[in-house]
Amino acid sequence: MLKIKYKEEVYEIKNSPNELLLKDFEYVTNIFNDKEKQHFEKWSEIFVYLGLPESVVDDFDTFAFIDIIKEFNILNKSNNDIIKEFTIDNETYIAYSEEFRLTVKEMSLIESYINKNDKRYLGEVMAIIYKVPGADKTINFDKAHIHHKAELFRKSLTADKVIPIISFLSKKLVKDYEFIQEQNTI
Amino acid sequence: MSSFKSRIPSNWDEVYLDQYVELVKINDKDISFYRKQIEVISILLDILPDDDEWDDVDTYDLNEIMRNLKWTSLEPTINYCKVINDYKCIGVDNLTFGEFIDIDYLFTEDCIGNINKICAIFFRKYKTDEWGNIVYEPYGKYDLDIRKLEFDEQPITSVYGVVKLYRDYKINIQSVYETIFEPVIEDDDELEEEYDIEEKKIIEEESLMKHWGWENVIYKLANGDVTKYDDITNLPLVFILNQLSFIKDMKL
Repeated sequence: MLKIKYKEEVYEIKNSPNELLLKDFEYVTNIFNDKEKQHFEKWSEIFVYLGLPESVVDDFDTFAFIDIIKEFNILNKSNNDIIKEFTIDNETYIAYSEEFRLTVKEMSLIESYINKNDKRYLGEVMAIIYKVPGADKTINFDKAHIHHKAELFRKSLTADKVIPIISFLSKKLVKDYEFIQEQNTI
Repeated sequence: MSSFKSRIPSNWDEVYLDQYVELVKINDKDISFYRKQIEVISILLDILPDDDEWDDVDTYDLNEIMRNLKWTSLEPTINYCKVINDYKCIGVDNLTFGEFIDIDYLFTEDCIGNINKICAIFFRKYKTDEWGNIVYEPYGKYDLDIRKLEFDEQPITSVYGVVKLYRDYKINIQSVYETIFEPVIEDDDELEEEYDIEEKKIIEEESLMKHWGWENVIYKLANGDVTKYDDITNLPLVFILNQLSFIKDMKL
């Protein structure tokens, strides 16, 4: 938690990936990526979302505000190891057993969710990757099943489990795209 | 995945015309990156993009497959088979006016998507007459939409050259009969504003004539007699082009 002293009060806001839920992380990254918003406007909105009273945010002087922004950096504090599995409500969800790999079908499905709603897709991405062991393939790719899991993950998973996946996917996409372009196939 | 590798074509000789058309059309589709790769490989393997076979293919396998498809960056050979099954290519020199009109329409509309139909016009059943001349099946005496299906199952390398054959021929006749094939002037709103009402009326009439193109030519050559349309379209193309040049030069 990041402690922010303001006048006589101390406010605490979530400040690390293991404190932010997936739904919070989606919200925060959307604000970061919003090209319509100005730099300080984005940060004000994020701090208010994370629990700092609006009146406090509005009252900060610029230098104090910059200091808080410097301390708040969820992306730099996480490692990039993709976890094999996690458990929610006694149900285990597994991504891989030995080496993390994605099938083309999974990547294509992930792309379709990103294209469908580029502001809210991380829950679905995690739902595609982390599967119920022993579940039939048709269930794993069923849209209703993915939706159900995505919503469950949004309110139960913390961002530290998601960030390595995002990092992997963005690198993978760029690498594969460049590779295919190099092949210059039809 | 190993099954994919062994079944993937290794050159254009192993790709059929209908597969080639589908491959080319993928580029017109608004689909995501991985979906496109799935569709390309599915077309080449003749499976559905949602086939169960895709379940275990990972992205590393995909890159390996795509590496083996580098040959698709090159166009298929511009050579073509002169004889396919029971059909022989009539070539461009023997085209009738009617055949030319139909090929030109198909070519302009979608030269790749219509290759099968263009082939169905170029390739005909044939026999040798008592004088040793090759006699071709008359155009219009067979169903183009049924005949085209036979070419869909030909290797693209057997028929792709027909596109170049026609393209080169069209360029050639356009240059020889320059006065008939006047360059098409693109619509230019700014330019149009400069014309007065009379000039605009002339431009509109000319544009209407261009819209009806060859139909207008047939109408004029047949003096408006629809019973003569077939006689006109069955005449050799070169003869018609010579006549049109003559009419135009003599301002008849």
